[in-house]
Amino acid sequence: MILSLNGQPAHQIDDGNWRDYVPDDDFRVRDSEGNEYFTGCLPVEEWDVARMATMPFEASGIVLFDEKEIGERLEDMWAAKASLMHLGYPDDSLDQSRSTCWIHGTCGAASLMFAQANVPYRVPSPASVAFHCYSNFGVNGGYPTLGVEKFQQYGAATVDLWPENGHSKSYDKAETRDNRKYQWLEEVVETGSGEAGFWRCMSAICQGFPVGLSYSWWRHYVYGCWGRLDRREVKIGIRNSWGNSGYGDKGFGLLAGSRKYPAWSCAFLRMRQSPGEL
Amino acid sequence: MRYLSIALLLLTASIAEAQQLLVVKLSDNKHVAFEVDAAGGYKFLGTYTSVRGIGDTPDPPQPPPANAWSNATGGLHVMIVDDENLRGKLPQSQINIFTSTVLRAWLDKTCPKGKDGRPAYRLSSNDSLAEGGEARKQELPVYIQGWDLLMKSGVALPAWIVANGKRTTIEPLPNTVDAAIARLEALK
Repeated sequence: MILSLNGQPAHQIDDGNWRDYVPDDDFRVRDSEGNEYFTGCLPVEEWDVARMATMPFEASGIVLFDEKEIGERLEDMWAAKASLMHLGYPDDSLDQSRSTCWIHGTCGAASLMFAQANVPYRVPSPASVAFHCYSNFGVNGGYPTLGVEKFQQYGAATVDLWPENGHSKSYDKAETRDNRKYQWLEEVVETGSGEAGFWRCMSAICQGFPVGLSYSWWRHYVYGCWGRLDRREVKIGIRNSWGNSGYGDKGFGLLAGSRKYPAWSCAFLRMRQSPGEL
Repeated sequence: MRYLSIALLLLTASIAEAQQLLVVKLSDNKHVAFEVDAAGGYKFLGTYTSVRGIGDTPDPPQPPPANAWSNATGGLHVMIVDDENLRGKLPQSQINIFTSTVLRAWLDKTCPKGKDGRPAYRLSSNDSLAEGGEARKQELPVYIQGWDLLMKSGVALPAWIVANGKRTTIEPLPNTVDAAIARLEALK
């Protein structure tokens, strides 16, 4: 049994229980206690992938490790307390209040990249990116590639100035326009879908790069940042955006079985932390 | 520059009208080139091998003067620099250094606070503080000095520069987290 950092069994979604997490028609998941959580990722067929600036995996510096090797590497990272879950654990989980997973996931991964670069703690506001994507901030659903594109193009303000669910144009002012210059999503790598995409993502995670993961069965987008080898199966560790108590251990959990294979994914290589050319 | 790269020179001339030429270093003598268009899209151009001139031998890294990192005063200063594009070629035990919470906890406890209130260490990349970049304007002078010293030293990445106020050390990064902490204990 895989334990999370709080000493409890890690939350896991697999082929046995995934139907408990399937959203109803309006991107909401209701658990057995009646708690409601939002997903918000539109089907892949509705995305405009071509607009996003990404690097092909084969041309990135990410090495594709052998599948058998990845499990050993993940356990090595875990034992050394060097997984990205260890790094991100002290910080709170994001908590989307609407169907904005499509940008919450990427901003969560970005905050982890800042932590890895050992800069002062900062969280890029999902709402500040969504502002450039949809007139209604995409609160009824969106697609992650648009969020990536606009994060690369406009940067993001931090949540202390623009709350993560601040779906209001009133936050777009001189102060946040200046602040967003210091949080840019820069290099993003296409890692693909299905089993092949999964192994590219795990390779990226072993090399210290978080990944964005979209799941059609879940209509949800999360970020992946850790993993474990459990009874000879490599499971991907994610961080959800349902708050500290809404999912797993402060948002961290595992996906296993066929539920772990993404419909689309990418790896985040670099954040820029200062003004530069657009 | 010790190595000639005729192919890259010709390539640069041929795509002068492109928005940007992006070259990614895969190894000491192999690079991948992309053309980046105005929309930010990447076009893979090819893989190029640097040609080494006859008799052209790189100088071995020279040890720095005793207190080269002169701005690093008041206690232990550490700067770790790696090339993210080459991270996958490292042993996992060494990759772990970049994300190690154990090492960071040790550095948080051991390094003095800098002028920005942060413990005096950085985890940086090989181009993060390059000349002309905005990040260089934002960073404290002590880390710019450290980064420059390391990058000019010729020591292969990943590497670190460590100063304790009396002595500056520039050397390859140890292979494990435990070895890194043990080495820092000896250098502090």
